[in-house]
Amino acid sequence: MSLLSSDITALWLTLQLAAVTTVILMVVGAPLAWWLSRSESRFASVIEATVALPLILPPTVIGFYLLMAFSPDNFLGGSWLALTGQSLAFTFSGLVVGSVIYSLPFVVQPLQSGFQHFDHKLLEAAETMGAGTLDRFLNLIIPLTRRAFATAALLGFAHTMGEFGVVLMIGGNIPGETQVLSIALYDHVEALDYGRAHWLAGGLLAFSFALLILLYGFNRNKGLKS
Amino acid sequence: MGSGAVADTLSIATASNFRPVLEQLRETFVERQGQDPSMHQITISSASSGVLYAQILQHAPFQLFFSANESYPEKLVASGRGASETLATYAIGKLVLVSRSEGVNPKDILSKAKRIAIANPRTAPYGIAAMAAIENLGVIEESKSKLVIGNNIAQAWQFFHSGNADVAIVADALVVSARGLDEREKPQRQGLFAIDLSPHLTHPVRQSRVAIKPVNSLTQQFLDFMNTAAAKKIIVDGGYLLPMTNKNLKQ
Repeated sequence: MSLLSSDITALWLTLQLAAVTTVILMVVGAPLAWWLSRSESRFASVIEATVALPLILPPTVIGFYLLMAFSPDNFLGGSWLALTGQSLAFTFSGLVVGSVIYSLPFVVQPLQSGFQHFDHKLLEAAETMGAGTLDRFLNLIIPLTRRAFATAALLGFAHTMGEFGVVLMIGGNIPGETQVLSIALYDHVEALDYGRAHWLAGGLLAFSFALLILLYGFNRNKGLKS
Repeated sequence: MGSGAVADTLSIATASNFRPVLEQLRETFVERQGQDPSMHQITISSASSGVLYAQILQHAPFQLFFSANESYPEKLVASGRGASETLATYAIGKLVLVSRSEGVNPKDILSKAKRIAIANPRTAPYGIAAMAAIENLGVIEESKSKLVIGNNIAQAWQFFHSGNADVAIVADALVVSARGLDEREKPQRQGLFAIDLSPHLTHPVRQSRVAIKPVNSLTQQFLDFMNTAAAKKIIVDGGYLLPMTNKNLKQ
């Protein structure tokens, strides 16, 4: 038994979901992590706790609330339907929304920790030398915290690849739209198709392991240098 | 019944469609037993029949299996795990098309639907039946892209109930049970229309059950209870037909 086209479709879909989610999370997560690393307001700990919630919440809690919110009877689902003509449940867009929430801490926390170790005197120096905000961000912060950025991106990507419970509740198992690898695997197991299940499970295991080796190897090397 | 109160336990595995009725059966059975009102001795687990069948093959600790088809219990008997004398068809399910818009032609409703929720045809007999009905109605090609697959029939029904799918093809029993709930909790949530799809099926959904060996006395008592008029009434009221001739279900 080997991989069938529906498994290839699931693989491609999962990679797309992980990529889109990671890009969104890096764009949203970086300013949020920066603010969290600098803020001294009491409100910041509330935001920090909110960001960390998906780490400890059962995915079914997120899945349940999302499914309720996605219903066209409710504000989010209704507005989305009016705007796009599509419902959020059972669509790729819906999975992106779920994944962004689900993987948020995996991106924000490494960034925040990287920013906390960033020497802010450098920024002040650059500012006195006339560097603009974007200039300072692109040419100073990113290069000096690149390990944090790499960790955040890799963890966000890997965690989204492994998402299951949320997708099970809001996805509807549609090939090419919401049937990601973990769901396709579950489907094979339940249908007693262990041959195909082995392909997907083994593939995910090898991929996740390789990604983590890459991540730790990268951090170790850079860690020794700086 | 009742006097031989032994420390038996009964773990029942049931296809999701039968769960609401089985819960009522358990309640009545426990009431009739009288001396021990605790329901903890009988537990109910629900999933799609295919999933439960696989679990029983893997020696999941169930004593009784209510499937949504006839073949899984038959296979368990053939493999020696099921007790052949307990094999029986306990209900004939009704497949219904539910939507929120009034209409009498199932073909039109499916054509106009945005999302059609069904149970997973790979593991759920009602999913297979739903696919067969869609095919027999001649709308399979246009419906394929609209299908939303629930892990079992309860999830397919929930996709519809939560408003995320506008049409679902499920067991009538779930609709009957939810109507009761809705009337209590959400009286405003009316306007649910169910059309019987049985005329569009080549085979009725015949549901069989079997006890897993060894059969303990509590399991046997429950099976005896299933043959009573009271139990049959609960099954019929729950949205099922009774099999016409079946030696195991005679009065």
